[in-house]
Amino acid sequence: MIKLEKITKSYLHGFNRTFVLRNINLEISEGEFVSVMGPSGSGKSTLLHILGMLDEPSSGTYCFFDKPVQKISNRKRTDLHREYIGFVFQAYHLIDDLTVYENLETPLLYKKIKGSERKSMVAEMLDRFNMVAKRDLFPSQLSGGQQQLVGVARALIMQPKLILADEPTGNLHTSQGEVVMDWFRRLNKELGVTIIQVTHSEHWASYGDRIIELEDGRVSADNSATETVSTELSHTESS
Amino acid sequence: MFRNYAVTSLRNLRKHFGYTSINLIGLTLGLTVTLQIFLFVQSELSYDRFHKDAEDLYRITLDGSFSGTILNAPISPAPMANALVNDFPDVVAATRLYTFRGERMVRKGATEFLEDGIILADSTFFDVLTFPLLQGNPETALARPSTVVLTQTIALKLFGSSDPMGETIILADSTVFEVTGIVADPPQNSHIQFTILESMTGFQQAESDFWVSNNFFTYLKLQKGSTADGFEAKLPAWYKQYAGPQIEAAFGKSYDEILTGQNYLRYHLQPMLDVHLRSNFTIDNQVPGDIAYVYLFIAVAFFILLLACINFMNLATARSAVRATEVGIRKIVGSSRNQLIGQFLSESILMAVFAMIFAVGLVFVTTPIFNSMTGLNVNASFLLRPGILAVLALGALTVGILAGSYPAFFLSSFKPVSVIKGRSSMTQSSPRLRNALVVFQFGISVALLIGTLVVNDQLSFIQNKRLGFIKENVILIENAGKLRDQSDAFKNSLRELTSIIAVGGTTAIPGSLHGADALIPEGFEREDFILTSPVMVDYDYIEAMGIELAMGRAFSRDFPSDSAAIILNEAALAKIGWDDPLGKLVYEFEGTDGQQISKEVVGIVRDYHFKSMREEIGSLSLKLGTRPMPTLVVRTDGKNTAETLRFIEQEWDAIVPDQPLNYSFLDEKFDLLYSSDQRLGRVFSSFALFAIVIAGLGLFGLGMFVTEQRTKEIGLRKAMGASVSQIVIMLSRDFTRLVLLAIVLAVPLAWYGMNEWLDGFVYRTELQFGSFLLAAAIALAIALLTVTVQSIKAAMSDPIKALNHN
Repeated sequence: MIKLEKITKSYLHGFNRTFVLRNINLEISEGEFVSVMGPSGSGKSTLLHILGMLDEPSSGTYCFFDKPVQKISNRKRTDLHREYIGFVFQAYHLIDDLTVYENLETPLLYKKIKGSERKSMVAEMLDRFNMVAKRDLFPSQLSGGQQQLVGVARALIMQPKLILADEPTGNLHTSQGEVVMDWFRRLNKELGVTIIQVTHSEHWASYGDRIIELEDGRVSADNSATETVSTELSHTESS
Repeated sequence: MFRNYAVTSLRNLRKHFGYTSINLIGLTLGLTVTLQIFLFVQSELSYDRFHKDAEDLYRITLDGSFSGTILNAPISPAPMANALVNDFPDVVAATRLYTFRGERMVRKGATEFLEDGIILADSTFFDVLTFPLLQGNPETALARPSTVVLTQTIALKLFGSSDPMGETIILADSTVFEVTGIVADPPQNSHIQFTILESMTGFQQAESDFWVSNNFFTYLKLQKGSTADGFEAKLPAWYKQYAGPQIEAAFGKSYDEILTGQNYLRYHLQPMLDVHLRSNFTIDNQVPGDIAYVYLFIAVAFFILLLACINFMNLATARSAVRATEVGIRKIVGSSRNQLIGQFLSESILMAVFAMIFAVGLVFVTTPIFNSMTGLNVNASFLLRPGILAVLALGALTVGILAGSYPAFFLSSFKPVSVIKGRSSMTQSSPRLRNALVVFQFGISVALLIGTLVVNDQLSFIQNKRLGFIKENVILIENAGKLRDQSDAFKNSLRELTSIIAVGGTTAIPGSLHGADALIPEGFEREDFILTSPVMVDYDYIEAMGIELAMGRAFSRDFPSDSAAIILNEAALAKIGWDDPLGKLVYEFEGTDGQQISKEVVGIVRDYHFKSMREEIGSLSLKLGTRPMPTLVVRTDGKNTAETLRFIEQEWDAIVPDQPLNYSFLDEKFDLLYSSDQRLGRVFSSFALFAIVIAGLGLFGLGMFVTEQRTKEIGLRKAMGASVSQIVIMLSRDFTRLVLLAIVLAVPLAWYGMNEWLDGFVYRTELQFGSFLLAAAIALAIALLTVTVQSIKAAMSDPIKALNHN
């Protein structure tokens, strides 16, 4: 699904070039649950933004479903977003002036989905996340965990093939974070959605099947983590 | 989708109520001015369009010059209308109007009142002009002598509910007229206004065959498709054929000998649709509008609306950081840039629609004020016509797009990644553009302010300039002709009262219409005559008006020969060129046969302004009138005017009990000459007020925003020991600079524009440095006030709170 070759990202500061990503080669297949870890400034978020086509690499090639992204026009890129990619952010990034219902509806409006179908899709999502009672509340009236669930639901409503999550649990209590991560796991296992999350925490990283560690803009480790997952699985289910 | 936009917009607007109201108030004010001007412009442009085949109708105008005196008026000789119809197949019909000066008495039984809207009209009136008859036959209504057609209003006033047709009324003193028709009141946008049409048939002057005296307003209807140009070209030769012999008989020289060089006489066809807005005549049968004012007002409306739109743009982009997150999220969840542009545009359009609704409401409130200020009669309900409502909707759409397009393109250009990363500095709009817009706004405001002050300067210059006579404390009695042979008795009885200083009589007070007579000074060739404005006066007029003598003496009862005396003004003397004029003779023509009579110059008066200050003081001649004067001037000591008036009325009633006294005050009458300038002054000031309020609102919003943005910085600076005044200066400095720049740019523009306007006056004030300084000071004060109030608030606030901000 995703193939990065020699991806580099750098900024020019005066006469100095600062490298954020150096020569990243990476392949991610459909159905994987990948955690990207690393200290602050290691380039995790930049990598995620490049994967989500929000940012462009300075050099290297990025193929999404075998198509080189650099050659795609802005309009096609918007179409790719609508079709395949959902985002979840640390700061939730819901639209403050819209209710829960309207926030969930917004992506469908941009996808030009008809009214009746839209209604049933939003209703289904509210139902699935147990938020029917909160449909008319504004983001500021929800707790952080609830807001992030709306964020996840909004990402999911487009039925994406790929969810990119930038520290989705970073602003949440552990228990709230677990609800969110639980959802990610279920989406990954039951619907086969590819998930790439960025996190500081080993605990949250361990939800993934594969952990990529970044250090100073380079991939320093890339492990499958099947064992840890099974132990963590029992841990979350008991909570 | 639109619902989603609308919901977001409405909630966002509500949440930021302060900004929303600033935007809404600004746009509403801008639109109110625009709509008001729209009403004015449409009313001005609609004049005389109601006539059937209006584009084929023309009015005959005359422009001529005799020894430097220019005659320019829509008047023509009595026989011209008929001759045109007979000689030119292109002329379908022609009709003449004749207006009396002043009011005339209308009487029916016990009902009587003064009317000034009585005009004489030919029987062809209804063939040329479209004034629908409600009763009567348009072919015959004005055909017989002593018949009248009444307007509906007058018919109701005189006859109530009974049928006036065939009944009689009495006009002027005793003439009996039969009512032969009822006509609808002339529409407000007709330059021809009347209350009673009197049949021209039988009117002696109308039957005259004299082509050299011009006393009628002639209207023509041309064949469809014939052009006025081709027609006008044939007029000079045609006119000469009729007027030539008569001129030769009167002046003793041939037409060609008299009308050579500087002297000319030309008749033109003025299109009916130009009459209201493109007339600038010394005599007219209407109060004309001015196409220049129409353009000026359109320009002002455009600029004020632009100011309001700029407010909207500036605030929207200044506050872009607030909306940036939303833009980023929408892009990430799949919005394209065009969809975002659509969203922001619909937001500004929504705002414009609200503003338009408020503005229409406001116009209904302001229209009476506007009307009383301008002396116009625009009707706000015109805005509610279905076609106009559609125009207004389109207007709101345009304003919404105009105000919203820049913010929409700007906001929708945000890259989602920078928003997500929280790099808010990238989402700031360029302050340079914002600053340029503020400079523009204040520049316009300053220019309008300067305009206001200069117009007022000129008006007070006119009011305070030495006129050459004393206009204060003079009561005019304008229907003194009614006194007939009792005139002297009446004047003498007034002189008994100690508060009355002098009583004089004249045919023309300063500011009223003055004709032109030819005078041949002693020793001059006959064709070297000079034109002077003749005024008939009595013995006491010069004293009563406070006119000063430069040489010789005023008319005096001690000199019985004064009936053959003449007094000239300095301008006339300068034209003749005599060093010692006293005792010299001038010759006048009398009658149509060119008979000459001589007058002896007994005095020279100092030049006084007997016309508007737009015109140079021309040659004037004063002669002693033998008949009772139509206007009396009563100079009082000004102490108890009410008492004096009561006395005058009492004396009047003793002589002519059946006629009401018709009086006015000379200073008020004279000021009327400048009523259109005073109107311009008032309208200008209110526009300037609107402009500065809108610009001030915008600056207020920006100040609010900047202060808010710098709350943390202010807190830090205070924590480090900055004083309140230091912080206020820091915050106000930037805006002050912008306003100063605006002043620097506006001053030359205003200087040029107002100089042009002042050049329209022969007697004008110089541009005052003080006016420019005052305008600058007002703009600066308003700018500082709006910004400083907020800076002080911010500077006084608790630094701890400020630092906890975000």
